[in-house]
Amino acid sequence: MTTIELDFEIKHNDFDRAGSASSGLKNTLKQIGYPPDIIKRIVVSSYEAEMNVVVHASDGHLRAVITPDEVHVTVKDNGPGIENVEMAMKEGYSTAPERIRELGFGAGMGLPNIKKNTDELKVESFVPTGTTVDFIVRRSNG
Amino acid sequence: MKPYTIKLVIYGERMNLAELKNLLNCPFCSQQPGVKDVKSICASDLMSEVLLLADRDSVIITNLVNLQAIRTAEMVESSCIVFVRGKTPTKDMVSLAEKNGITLLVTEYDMLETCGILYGRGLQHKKVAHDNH
Ligand SMILES: Nc1ncnc2c1ncn2[C@@H]1O[C@H](COP(=O)(O)OP(=O)(O)OP(=O)(O)O)[C@@H](O)[C@H]1O
Ligand SMILES: [Mg+2]
Repeated sequence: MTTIELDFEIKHNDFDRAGSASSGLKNTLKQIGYPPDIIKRIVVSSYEAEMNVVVHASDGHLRAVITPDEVHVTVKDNGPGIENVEMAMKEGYSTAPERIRELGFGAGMGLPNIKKNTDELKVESFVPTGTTVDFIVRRSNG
Repeated sequence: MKPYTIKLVIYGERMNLAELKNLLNCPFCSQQPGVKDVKSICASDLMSEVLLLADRDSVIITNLVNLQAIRTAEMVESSCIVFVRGKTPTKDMVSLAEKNGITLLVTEYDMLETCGILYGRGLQHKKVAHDNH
């Protein structure tokens, strides 16, 4: 297997399409025979990051680089950025408004979930230019 | 009521989907082929909690009737979603679920009643690792 590179658009506030990037990533990983438990860790993480863009940010992109050994995912948006990343990483911290909570989001567990499911995680954010969530899941660490 | 999450696990004899449908008296069902027996359920109205706690091939029980509930099930490879309080999914939800081999059921019971019925059938409560609810 050679390296596969994927690039999906994420549309802010588009709840019909929300999740389609992670779904596309999942289908590719299934096709090339990645182990199901590893796929779950990757797509739970990418879906949390994707939903954060849909819910909290602006339009963005999900890019993935898949090799036989690991999957590297980068989810990037164009703002408004996170004031305090350390705070945002804490379980239970959320700024989601009521309208978003009614949809089932806003437990403040998305970023902590990504942390739990990945081998490496980097969250970089600048106000107001945007946020990049970058993570790696290795195949060997099942 | 504040959202809560309950995880129930079957140790020993498993339950099949027909039995689940019967127990919950489901008026609506969009059944997909190849559904495995029920090993565990995850009941929640918070998608991040489902993403954290639901096992592959689990059943999700929720009040949330929207496309994100289906997407969440897709990511964790849940085989079935039970919508409580008689809320029927839309055509879009049914077709997204079909595409992903996810069976959808609707029960008139609310979430607590549904969990109670399954608990009574022998599913055991699995304490979840965190306690923010
Ligand atoms: N891409 C982003 N752009 C701007 N703010 C963000 C972004 N991602 C996260 N945040 C901020 O960080 C907080 C915590 O994010 P996290 O994903 O952990 O929880 P949540 O999205 O609020 O709830 P949940 O993910 O459980 O549905 C958010 O409430 C929001 O304030
Ligand atoms: Mg989130």
